[in-house]
Amino acid sequence: MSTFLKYLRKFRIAIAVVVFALITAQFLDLYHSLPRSYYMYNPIKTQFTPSLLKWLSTGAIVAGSAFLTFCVCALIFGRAYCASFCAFGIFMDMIRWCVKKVSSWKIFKNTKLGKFVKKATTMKNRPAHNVVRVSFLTLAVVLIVGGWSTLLGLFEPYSLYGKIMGSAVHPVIAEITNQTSALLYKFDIYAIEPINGDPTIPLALFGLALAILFAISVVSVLRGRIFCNTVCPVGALLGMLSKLSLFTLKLDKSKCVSCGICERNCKSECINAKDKQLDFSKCVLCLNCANNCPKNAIKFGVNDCYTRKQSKQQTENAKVSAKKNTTNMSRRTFPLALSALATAMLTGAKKDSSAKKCDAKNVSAYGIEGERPDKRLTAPPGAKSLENFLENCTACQLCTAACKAQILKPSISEWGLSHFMQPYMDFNEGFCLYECHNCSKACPTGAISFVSGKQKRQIKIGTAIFKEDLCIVKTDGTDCAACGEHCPVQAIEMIPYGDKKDSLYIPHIHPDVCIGCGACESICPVRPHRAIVVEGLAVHVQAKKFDESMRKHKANQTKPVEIKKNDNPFPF
Amino acid sequence: MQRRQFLKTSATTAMATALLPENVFANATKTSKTPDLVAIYGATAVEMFERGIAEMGGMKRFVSKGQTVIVKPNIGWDKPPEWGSNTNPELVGRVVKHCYEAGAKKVICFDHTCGNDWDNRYNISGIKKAVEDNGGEMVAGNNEAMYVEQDIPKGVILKKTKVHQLAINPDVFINIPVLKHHSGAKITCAMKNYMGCVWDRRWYHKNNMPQCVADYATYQKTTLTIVDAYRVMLDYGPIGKSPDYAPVAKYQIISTDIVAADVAAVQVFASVAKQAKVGTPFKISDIKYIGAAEKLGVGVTDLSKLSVKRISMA
Repeated sequence: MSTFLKYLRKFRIAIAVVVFALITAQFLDLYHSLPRSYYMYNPIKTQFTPSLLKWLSTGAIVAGSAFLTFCVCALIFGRAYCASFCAFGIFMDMIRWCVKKVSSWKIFKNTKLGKFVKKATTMKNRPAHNVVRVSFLTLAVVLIVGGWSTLLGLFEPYSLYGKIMGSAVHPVIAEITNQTSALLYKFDIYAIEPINGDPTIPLALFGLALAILFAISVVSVLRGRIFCNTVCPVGALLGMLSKLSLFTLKLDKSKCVSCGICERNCKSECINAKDKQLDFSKCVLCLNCANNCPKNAIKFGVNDCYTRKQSKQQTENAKVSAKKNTTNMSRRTFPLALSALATAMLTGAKKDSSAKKCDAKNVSAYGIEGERPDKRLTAPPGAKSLENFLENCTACQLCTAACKAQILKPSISEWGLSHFMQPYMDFNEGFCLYECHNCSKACPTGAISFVSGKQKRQIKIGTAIFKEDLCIVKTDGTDCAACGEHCPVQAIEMIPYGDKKDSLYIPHIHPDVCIGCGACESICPVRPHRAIVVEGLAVHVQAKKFDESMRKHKANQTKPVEIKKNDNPFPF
Repeated sequence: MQRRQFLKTSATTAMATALLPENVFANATKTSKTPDLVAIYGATAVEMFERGIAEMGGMKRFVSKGQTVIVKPNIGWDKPPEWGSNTNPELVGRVVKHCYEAGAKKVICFDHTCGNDWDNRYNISGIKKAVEDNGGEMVAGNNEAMYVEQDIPKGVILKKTKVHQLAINPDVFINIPVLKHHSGAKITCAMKNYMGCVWDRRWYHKNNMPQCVADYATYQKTTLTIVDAYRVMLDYGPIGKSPDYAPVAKYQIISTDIVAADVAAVQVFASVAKQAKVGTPFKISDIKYIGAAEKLGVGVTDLSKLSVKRISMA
């Protein structure tokens, strides 16, 4: 059994490393070069909360397969998700492992720091904070039901990991790449290509992501997986389920000598070596105990609550632990939470149907705070509606990393503070590329559903509004047409303007044709207010295709006639 | 004897001097006869280029051994070659090949594309593959750090602008624009193609774009201009609506004078537009940057002042 567990631990680590690498690859895919097959088996789909959100928003059970699988796993052998699939959990393990490794190097070993780390990373059993756990789980359920995913994203593990990667690591690496590239260019070396677009994000958000990184590093070194057993709603839910797990990890009382090695190595602080007890609801299946136990006393066995013999003993133990003021997960909280979850699913389904019903009239999408009078933001193609986008996005920042034009930026108050860090489309320096649908491939929560390239090119996310009084052609009387030049769908027609002698042309918008990509707004040279801006649509619709009959100037042109061979070809 | 010898020597010297120029300076006389502008019609872009560059005296006339050649095609848009939005990739590839054959040390190709996905545009246009297949190097133009501020002493409006470092004092600079309709400038060709050498194009649009285009042309050293008019986009430029609007016209213009190249190109555009019955057959006076550039002494608009050669390969 113990050799099996030792191999199982290696297997766990191997899976964790692979999953972590695959997920992180998507955040650090600077050149957007991940192959199509990667997105077909997108590893992000293994993430627990996004999977649940996607299930609720789309109603497709396939989307919730990760959520269901890991719940069932928890009912059979415990928190496999926390052990090998949770990107944030693996990240914490890695930080802890690295700090321990470095502090054990010769130069650090005997310094104060080395001794401190060694002491700090030696764990001891502590009581479970079940009230905190259940509170956060309840809060998460309420937030999902209410559609306040932004707040959920502030304590949900995958989104936190995403915030670190998308808002701290990705911008730094991208900037370093660009700067190195530019430096090498000075020496005529063109080996490193600069990345597309401008990867920078607001400093405040970068600072916030760094703060999260710092906090989680300190916490994970000092207390291991304490986050997973206090704040994390996924940990709380799976903990509850694993309480009822068919098999649990336990200490073999006939072999255990209470030496405490397992307790000192337990990341979750869940082993009490003295009483030979293991709180399986806190266990993240890291299997460090089995790896270190000199007596091979750690084993997988049928849960005590399913064996009649030991059930008495367990109640006794429960009493003992109650005396010690260690509040164990109460049996009552479990059905409570389960019913809450069921409610969440039901209302989620309701929410979905109501989202379909809503139209431009009864959605007051611009009632949100922070509305700018001159500007209505757009949601990326695939979001269906602003409501759907803002309700389902946990601000994991994956789309901001995936955006080829780097125009999806985390917001501070652009959507309003209640949508803090949810991405918005920043048309100041770039625009939504006509051929690109990376964000819809990336989004794991259903805030942006997948649309094919062809579908994406016909989705209308906004309408360009032309303000003639600001236009260069009118104010300065010179040619410009920067907007018309960049429009990918012929929604901007240049029509003759003013005196014929000047042969000036001014933009004319075909609003039905416009897809709202922001190309015109991004290139318009007028400052401070641009002469052409894109107003977001509350509900996305299909754009019309431009055809000749729509032309304002010189309507009903035919297609070019074939050019015949010319015997006298030169006009000069 | 002495007198005879004198006569003999003087006679031979006279004969030699009479003969020498023809032999020794034969190339030079030929060069002076080589045209300033060659217009070719009626074959594929590559065939027309082969013929045209031979008429111009071969690439060796422009590229010396060991020089670095900068090639500047138009790679503005993420459209395949048949749309006519970008320069014909085969032509660019062949130019690169000729430069190497003439002894160039390195041939580098770049453009500041119209969008944030520069690598995508390099790929879709087919130019990246064509250049790299012929040993050339593709360099990005999307990072502001690659641009250096330059003075434009002759500029009327554009006095200063950030220029891509490759376009600053190049050994040899070959401009390979594509001829197409343009919603702002009406026709974009040789001089307008240089908007891909600068960082801040919005400034152009804001401050009388045609004049800025002409101003920049006073600054940029141009060795040779090769206008790709194999496909001519007649309407919906500069991106295009579909390949239908870029019919195969089979023209090419090779010129040492960038303004003359634009003048010839505009006339080609007008004649193709008339034949295809699409688009506007613009006059030279409609294209404001051409007149502005002539005023600044960039080149001549009167083609009769140049030695022009017209070749029909049809």
